[in-house]
Amino acid sequence: MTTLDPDVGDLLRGLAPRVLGRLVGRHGQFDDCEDAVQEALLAAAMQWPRQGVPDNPSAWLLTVADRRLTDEWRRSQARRDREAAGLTGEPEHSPAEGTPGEQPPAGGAEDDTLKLLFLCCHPALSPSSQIALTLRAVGGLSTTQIAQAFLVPEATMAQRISRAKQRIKATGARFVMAPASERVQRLQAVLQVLYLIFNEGYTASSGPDLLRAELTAEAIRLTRALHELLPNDGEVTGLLALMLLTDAHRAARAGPDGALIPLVAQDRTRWNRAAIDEGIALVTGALTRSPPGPYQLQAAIAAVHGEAVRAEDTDWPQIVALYQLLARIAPNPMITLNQAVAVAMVDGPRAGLALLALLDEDQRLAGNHRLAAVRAHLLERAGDHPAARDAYREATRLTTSRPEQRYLESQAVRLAPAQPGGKTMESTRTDTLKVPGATLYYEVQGSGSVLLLICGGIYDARTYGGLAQQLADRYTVVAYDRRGNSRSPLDGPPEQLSMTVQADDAHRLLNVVAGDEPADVFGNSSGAMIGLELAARHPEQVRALVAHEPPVFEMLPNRDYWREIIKSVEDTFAKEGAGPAMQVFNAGFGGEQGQGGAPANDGGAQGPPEESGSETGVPVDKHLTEISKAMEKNMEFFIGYETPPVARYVPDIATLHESSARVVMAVGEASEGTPMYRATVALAQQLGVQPAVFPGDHGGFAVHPDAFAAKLHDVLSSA
Amino acid sequence: MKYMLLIYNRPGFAEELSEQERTAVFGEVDALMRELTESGELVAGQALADPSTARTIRLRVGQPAITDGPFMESKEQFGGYVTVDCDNLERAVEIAARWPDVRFGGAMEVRAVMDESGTEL
Repeated sequence: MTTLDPDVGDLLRGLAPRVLGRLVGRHGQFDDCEDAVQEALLAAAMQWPRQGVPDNPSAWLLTVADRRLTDEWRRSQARRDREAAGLTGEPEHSPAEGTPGEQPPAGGAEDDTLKLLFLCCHPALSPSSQIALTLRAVGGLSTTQIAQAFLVPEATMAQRISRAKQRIKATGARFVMAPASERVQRLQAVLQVLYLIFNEGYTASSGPDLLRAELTAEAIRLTRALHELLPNDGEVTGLLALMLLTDAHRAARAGPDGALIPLVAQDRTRWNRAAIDEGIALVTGALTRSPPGPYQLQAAIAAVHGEAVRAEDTDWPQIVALYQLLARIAPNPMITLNQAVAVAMVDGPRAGLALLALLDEDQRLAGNHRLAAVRAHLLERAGDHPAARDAYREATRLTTSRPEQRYLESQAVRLAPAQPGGKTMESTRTDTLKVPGATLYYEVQGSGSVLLLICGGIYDARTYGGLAQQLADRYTVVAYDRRGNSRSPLDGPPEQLSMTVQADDAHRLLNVVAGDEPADVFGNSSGAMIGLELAARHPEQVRALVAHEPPVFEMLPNRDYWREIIKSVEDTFAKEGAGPAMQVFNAGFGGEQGQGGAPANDGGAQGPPEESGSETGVPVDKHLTEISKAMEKNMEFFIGYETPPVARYVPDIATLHESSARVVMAVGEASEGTPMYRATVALAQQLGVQPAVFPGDHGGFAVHPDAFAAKLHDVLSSA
Repeated sequence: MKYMLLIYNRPGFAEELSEQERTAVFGEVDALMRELTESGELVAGQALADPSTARTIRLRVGQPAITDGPFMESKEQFGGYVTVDCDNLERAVEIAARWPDVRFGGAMEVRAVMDESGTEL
């Protein structure tokens, strides 16, 4: 965890607790001594690599720390003297004279390390303080290193350590061996702290943060040191074995891309055999010598996994037996959770699920994603894929770990229902159609009656990719690029495109793809206007039209405002080009506020998708952004040649009234207040129909293709 | 566990207070920040300028369009955040509940921060 020569680093960290122990033994005042040792370690880290390691490094460190301590006390004494000069009261005695009641330590350096561990893991401290103080005082790490490992600012970590030391001082805890009556309990606290340090590092080992991952090595080093001090303690041995057996999976537990790999799917040839062998030997020895404790049993379970060369060789009945024992001596819901997985391997997934049912009421697991994740796994094994998918989704929502979230999400996606016909993707046929003045590009997919999708704005058939895929099992879905856009080139130079021409293109396309059969038509934005014109001119071709948010500004009370905007767009396009014209158009939406319209909470002929990107925090839908990028070149054509006729379009309401085609006006539930929404509602009123409400906003079909498709099918199949 | 405490307040609430009250409220926040610093729980925190100074960028007709003002028009506006590293959600909620903005028509939202670590599966 340090940039200096690793040999020197290891040496220093090994010496740190002994030097600190000697110093505290000599002077008392744990907090000041700890600071002094840190300074001595720092001095050594600077000097030793250049000047060589002294003959007696321990004595060197002790001398330097001692000097620092005395200097510091002298300084603060002088300060107190100065402060006290004008005041009454005696100056405090110098701590260097020794604190009354503080006994010189009995025993050697080994005892000192143990005493330090007990002090740092004092029950009066919070777990985070215990960890920080242990790493610094016993592990010899600097505050900077600890802060980096725990991903908090150095000041935060410094404060945590200094507070922990103050707290130790305040509780009067002393640097003495814990009395035998408390020894077991205090040792448990130490083991818990070492285990937490190990986990901090191990869970991070798939991430990019090496500093954090090296906490694992530090935890093993400290536990090994503790094991050398207490070789006959079964739980210390058990913890060391558990760490070694777990850490042995490190190279196999994540893929090259950092994705987590479950134990059963890991490449076992990448497990660290030496660590597994040592772990197995340690735990076997411990179990034969002492009554089993929780760490030994967890290590024993890890050892059974370690012994299986292939996942299918795992001795699951043995693991179930060990979990039963563990649940008896240390009952805890996390153990039941793991037990359920093992039980499922022996007695089947339903038996495991029955065990999980016992945990539903357990408040300790409320909101914990592990319960949902294990349930998902067992439901999948039981063959209930829809329920498994829901449980994976729930677990995905609950976890706060990004790698786990990624894994769980991938499991949910894997269980997504396949499309009818066993294919997950309908194949798409593409073709072109020659029409007067242009060539239209179109795409056909799926089977069933024809559903023509007409896009608006600067978009093309690709915009409907998600929607088309959702509907291809029920309809022959046809989408095309409007002339002048993307893959539908014009024969000649661009000119303003009338709605008559636009509707004629749709009419000719329907002739080809639907023949004499009437088709369903869906249009969005200006595409909805094309649909309206088509339904008015060729009612025999349209069974039902869903017109989603056509920007019929002529239907709005403030139509004069829009007429001015469009005039200005035309002028600007002629004089300054597409970019400035687009800005005028955009400004029209913002400027509508106070113009008799509702507050413009968004706007645009293709409005922004709402609530998108909630996972990334970017309020723009990624899919739509990608498509829009490809659409950029359509922008000039749209603003220059399509927008003016679109914005001035007045539907033939009388003809539509009499048309045999069913006309459904549709708005996005999140569009309320926008000009497109208001215009659509106004037109619906004129047509005497109630607008249907669709998911999302103006671009809802791209953001929520599944919900949008469901609603569209619903509308088309009713009446 | 790291939590971000999102502070939503009612813009302009401070102007409705007397000089004395305002000083007291700011003092409360200072004291809270000091307490979190001393406890070693404070990771970071920032206050934001008035929402009227915000710019919002959205996709419109295929282009990012910029408008003046905040993302959402609502009574409460995002005014700043504090990130804490504390033992559990209960502690984070306890800290958030003491933020004075809550008493003046605002709200605090406590959100767990995603971790790059993952347990073995």
